[in-house]
Amino acid sequence: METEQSQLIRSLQDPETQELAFQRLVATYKERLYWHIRKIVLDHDDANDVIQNTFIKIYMNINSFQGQSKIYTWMYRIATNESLNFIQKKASKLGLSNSSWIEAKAAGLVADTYFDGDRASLKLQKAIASLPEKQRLIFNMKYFDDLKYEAISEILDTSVGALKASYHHATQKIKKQLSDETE
Amino acid sequence: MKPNKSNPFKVPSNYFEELEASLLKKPIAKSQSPFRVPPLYFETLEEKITQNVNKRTVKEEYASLYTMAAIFLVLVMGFFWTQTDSEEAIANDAIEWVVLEEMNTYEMATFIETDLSYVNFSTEGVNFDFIDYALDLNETNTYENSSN
Repeated sequence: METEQSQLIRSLQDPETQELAFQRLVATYKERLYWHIRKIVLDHDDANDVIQNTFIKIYMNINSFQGQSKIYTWMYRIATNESLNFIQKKASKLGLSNSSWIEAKAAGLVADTYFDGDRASLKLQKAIASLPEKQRLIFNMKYFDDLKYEAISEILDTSVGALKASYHHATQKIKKQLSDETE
Repeated sequence: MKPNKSNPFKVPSNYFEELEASLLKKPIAKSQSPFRVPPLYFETLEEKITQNVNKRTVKEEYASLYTMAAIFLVLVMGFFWTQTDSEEAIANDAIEWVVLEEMNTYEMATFIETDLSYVNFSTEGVNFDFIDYALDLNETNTYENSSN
């Protein structure tokens, strides 16, 4: 029996049903992908730009999707790459490294209209921003999105063992940073 | 007096999410995230994405049409260029062969300076600059050989 996913992919790849299927895809995944992107780029306007580009890329490349992985992991991968490329472009325009750019963004959250976290969540975001890029992605996907290691492994093309180690290192660093600040 | 069925007891906001999180050791729920979006953002996002995708598709179609037109133009121009080149090349080869292989220096000089009807092939399209160059080259070589 055809699974829901393969049915959706077939509809997406068929020119006659593509438009309707794409609308369904957007309706189903827009929020999940938006929040995934937002955690990476931090700013709402930036996340809005990236999600538009992500869905354009998904639409343009849907015919090359082989169905070997789950469609949402494939879309997460596109969203992750788009977000990282976006940061790279923005940072290089300002002559900054990616990590400096994201740390500056985290520092600016205090004045962001679309961020109303308390001091603790602001500190948490700053601590996350100070992590190396891959650890930051893994931490966000595991801690906030509650994705399984197997799914993260498919998205980031990294072994489950390496992911577990990275997540462990990331949590240790964050704990240390938060406890240092409170002392 | 009718009994009021509504529950008079209240809990703090997000209490059940926090309870579930603490009981199941779940990470922070999305609703507790400090990040916010403008009102009705997700309601309008779908339409914006569809519009952008359509715009991009039309752009891609135009781009591929322009690319095809450009390729066609280059191919047509290339065809005509190669045609012209080959005619010139054939004429030059013929001259070169006749002048350098078949004529001696005297005949060459006569051919250039006096009687163009000396040879019985059409001089139409003949590259005389090339012949001058070939003669110069020949003289230089002769001079170099004699000085050695």
